[in-house]
Amino acid sequence: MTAPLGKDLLALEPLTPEQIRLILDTAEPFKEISERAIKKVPTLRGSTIVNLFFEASTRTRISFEFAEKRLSADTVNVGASGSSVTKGETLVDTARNLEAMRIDMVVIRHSASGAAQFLAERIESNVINAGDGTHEHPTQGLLDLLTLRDHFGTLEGRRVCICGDVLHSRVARSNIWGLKKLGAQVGVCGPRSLLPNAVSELGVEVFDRIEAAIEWAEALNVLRLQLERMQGGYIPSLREYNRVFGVTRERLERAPRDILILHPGPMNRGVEIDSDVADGPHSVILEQVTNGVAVRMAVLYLLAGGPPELAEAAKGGSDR
Amino acid sequence: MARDREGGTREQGTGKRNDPTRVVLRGGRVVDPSQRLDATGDLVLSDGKVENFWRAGDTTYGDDYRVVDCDGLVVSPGFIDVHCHLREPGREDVETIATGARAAAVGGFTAVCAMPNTQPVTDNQAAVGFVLRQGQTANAARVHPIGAISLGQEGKALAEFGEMVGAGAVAVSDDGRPVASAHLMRTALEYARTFGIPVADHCEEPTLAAGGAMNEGIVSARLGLKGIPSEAEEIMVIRDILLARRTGGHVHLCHMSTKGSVELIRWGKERGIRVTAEACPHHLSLTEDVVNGYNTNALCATGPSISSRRTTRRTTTMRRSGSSRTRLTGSSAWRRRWPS
Amino acid sequence: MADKPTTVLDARAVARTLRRMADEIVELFDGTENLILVGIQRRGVQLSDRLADILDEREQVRVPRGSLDITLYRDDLQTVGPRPVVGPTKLPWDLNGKRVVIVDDVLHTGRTVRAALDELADFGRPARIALAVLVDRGGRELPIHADIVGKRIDVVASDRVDVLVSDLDGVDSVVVVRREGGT
Repeated sequence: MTAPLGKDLLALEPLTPEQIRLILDTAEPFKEISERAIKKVPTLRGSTIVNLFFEASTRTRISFEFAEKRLSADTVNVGASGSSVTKGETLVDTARNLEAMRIDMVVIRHSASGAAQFLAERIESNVINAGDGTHEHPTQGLLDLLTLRDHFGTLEGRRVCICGDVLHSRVARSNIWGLKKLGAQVGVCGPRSLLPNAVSELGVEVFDRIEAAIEWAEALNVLRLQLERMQGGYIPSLREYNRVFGVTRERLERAPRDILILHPGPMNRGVEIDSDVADGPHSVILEQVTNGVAVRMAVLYLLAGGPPELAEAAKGGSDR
Repeated sequence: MARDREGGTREQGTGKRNDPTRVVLRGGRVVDPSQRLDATGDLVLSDGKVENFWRAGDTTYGDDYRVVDCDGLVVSPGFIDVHCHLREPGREDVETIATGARAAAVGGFTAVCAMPNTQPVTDNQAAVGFVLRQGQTANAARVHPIGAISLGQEGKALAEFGEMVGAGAVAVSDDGRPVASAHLMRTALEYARTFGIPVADHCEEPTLAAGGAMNEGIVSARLGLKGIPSEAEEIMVIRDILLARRTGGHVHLCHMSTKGSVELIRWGKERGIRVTAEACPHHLSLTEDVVNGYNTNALCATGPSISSRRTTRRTTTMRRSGSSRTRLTGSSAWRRRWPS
Repeated sequence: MADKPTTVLDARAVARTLRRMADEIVELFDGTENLILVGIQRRGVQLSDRLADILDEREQVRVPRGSLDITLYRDDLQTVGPRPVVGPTKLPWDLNGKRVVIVDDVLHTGRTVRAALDELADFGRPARIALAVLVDRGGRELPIHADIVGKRIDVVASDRVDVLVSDLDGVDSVVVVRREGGT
């Protein structure tokens, strides 16, 4: 029997390496299901899952929806606009209403860090964090790990650099925790105004220039730079960001080795990453998307399991 | 190797001497503060580098030395003015980069850093490149442009530090105005780290200083002029030092003028914070009494006002004790009837 | 409460049984045309490979072989506690019109085979599905029937029947483990 994940998946920081490996290993067989003609298994048949997205998202929500439907669950999407939230309903009340409807699982994305934990503490349903504020985005971190593992075999000792606005990025944080737990060496690269002040205490190498990061890394996870950062005064312009920190073909050509390129999407072509890199031979961006559905199926599958005590009761005759 | 002869040979048309390897600057007053050297003697140069210093005596030099008579002259390392205003572009009627660079050279300054409060403000790579090229054309003291921290020096949006450094900027500053927003100062210090340049701040808290004409003290009280308290400078000084501590950036404090500022800088340096500072000649040599009689020549248009006697003494002591790396600076040309 | 194991088939007996089962498959389908052998994870896969190898040799063909993991189709996932590990499913063909032999080690309640039939239905519509098992221990809970049986054994519900294969366990054998005394 497998080590349980607990009731919820809220973050990668509290997980053990074994739990992370369990999720990645479980995702492997789920990849195959998306290759079948009939992309469906009956595993979560009769389960009700609500996608509670307080922040707009296309790719994450669709990825979760595919994962849920391919497991035969019934899904309901609740978006931020036109919902009771805009009428002023608090998160607590939303949670209580969901519970009253006997929802099995909730996938939540919210603009406040800690919102997923807040919800999880108040309802019995399984809660999956699809991104809370700038805190964590655990399923994104997991699919990045799976993609890297597919190419490297093992993450132990591998050098992965996260490039961009680490300060405001939940994807960066999940990646840092996940990579470190699996034994990788982690670097970050970006203007200091976009790196957390205490970044060196996270146990990562800090690179002030993208050239130095490219010299060091075996893989780059390039984060999306948001326009708001310019308006918030953290960097002068997107143009300068591309000139100083952009991942361009010229810079990669000077690298001492082939470097894997990841990006959580959506991409700002010509800002943090150039088109010929995003579409180039070392980019695994589309694999990340494919792996995303498999990882989310694995998480749903593992969380839906019952408590360990049931396993004891189920042991007895071999059930053939 | 050509043998030297008195006077050397002169290349036609360029005005340059065909310099031999060894030169002696004989009999001048040789001054080098970094070595605490101030004595009359001979400075021997070889291959463009200082080889030796002989105190005044009867040393004779062979034919392979070119001897330059420096009797009555001062021989010193070239000074660097890290803070000057060359007024070009915009106010060429007052000063240009060329006139400023030549004036600097005459005064013994081999390099100057030009502040960006020009018209328009030097806040982009094209403007920085312009200043650099004008300096090169002037062919006098080297001119190192300083770029603005914020676009238009308005204190809102960061200028493109990377582009400006690429075009030759050696630092960034909004001098002429304080950086009122602590968030902008912090971000500037962090962003500047990427390019290894200092951020120079004009320390004057705007709400305390508004409308003030001179230092707040007994003279302003008697003359009935609105004063600027020393805290207007000190509040920004400590703010900038603390931000330098948090960000690990290098802050340079412009035209320090109060005793309190000196103490704060010492506090910062004791803790290993990357802070450097400068003072102006008039702050070291004058006191607020010079304003008596409504002497408008003594009113500083944008820099901090001349302070009380105690402050002047303290600033001078600070410089002598080396507790802050000050430089004589603040050269800026003003026309007589400059609107304040 | 001691466990008392008894070997019911040793390695040689297993080999003999498999050879006979292979013959029965050929007989049942009148040849190997359009035939696919699909083993159920985990030990059914090893047995299926063995049968396919025997068929390859006997009939001078290459019989396609696949593997099926039925974990996701189990009807008891909600009650079994923490989720079991899911193994790989490899069925790279469209099963329309094919003749499929499901191979498993032990047939007991029949629920595993029911799950396998549901899963196969998602891969197409075979012309015929047959079931071959090494051991039939009785105790059906569903109307499931094996077409080809290696050995029928008679046990009580508390007995355990273990099939060991050399690839995974180092030896080929079928062992019955009887619980003595207590529950």
